[in-house]
Amino acid sequence: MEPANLNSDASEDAALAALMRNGRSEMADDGFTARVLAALPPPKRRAVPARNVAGWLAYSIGGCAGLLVVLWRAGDPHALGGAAREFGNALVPLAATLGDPWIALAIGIAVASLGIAAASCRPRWRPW
Amino acid sequence: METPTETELIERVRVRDDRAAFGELVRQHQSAVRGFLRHLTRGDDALADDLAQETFILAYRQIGRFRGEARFSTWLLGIAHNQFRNARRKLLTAPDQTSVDADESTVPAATRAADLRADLDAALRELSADERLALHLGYAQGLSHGEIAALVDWPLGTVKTHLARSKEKLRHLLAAWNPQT
Repeated sequence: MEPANLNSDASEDAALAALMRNGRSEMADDGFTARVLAALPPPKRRAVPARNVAGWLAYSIGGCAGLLVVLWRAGDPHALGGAAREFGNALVPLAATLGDPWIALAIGIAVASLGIAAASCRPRWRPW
Repeated sequence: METPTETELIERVRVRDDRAAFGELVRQHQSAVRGFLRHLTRGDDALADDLAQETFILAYRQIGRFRGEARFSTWLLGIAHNQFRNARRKLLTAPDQTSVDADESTVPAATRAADLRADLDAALRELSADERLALHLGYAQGLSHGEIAALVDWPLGTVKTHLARSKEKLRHLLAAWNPQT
């Protein structure tokens, strides 16, 4: 049989709510949250975002295009070899300066700084 | 530093898998969820806490499905209710919630006579499981009729009927506490 009145009486509802909540104060956590967090599944390894794939693709295409331009402009492969040798020869005096400990220290500090900066920031253009 | 809102915490969990944010959500809602499950398990605190833990883990996994159409607390209680139903189905030995609970020994008679809380607990045992559930969700948890209907998958009319019937029974059973009735 249906109850005579399905509508709520506000004062009676308030009294009943108080009664139902009486003695039921906020339950102490008692390490419950820590247990839940410990039981969570391990963090997922994130899939490589499409943005990063596109970055790698752009770098590769750019590199290949640059190589093609160099080959095309060189025309003769022997000439290209000669140019490479000239470039290598130009680097020899530069490499000689690395023998200076102060230059080596300066380069070491610069490389370490770049490494720390790269590890601590995530620029949008970085492809990894 | 400003305390993040519940919506911000949910977003952090969803987008950044921020476990500290999820921990804050658990801290905020553990009392309601554990209280609800203790009500459903009729005082089996260990089982209730196990189910509450499973509830939060499932909520963490499915937080992407939370669209904000209901309150987060209501969504959690819905998961908790499903967890309880699944557990009851698995544990065929669990007492049938539709029968009147015969375990009155948990409340000593002397205390029951002296304490309104105990009298209320005794009166609640006279109600059917569905009436108790509706009453708990409506009055202890403060859910609206619509929220209860969505949570336990009942028609709105059924929620209203259960609440009205249970209140009528309580009015009669607790008449001694309210001489005006």
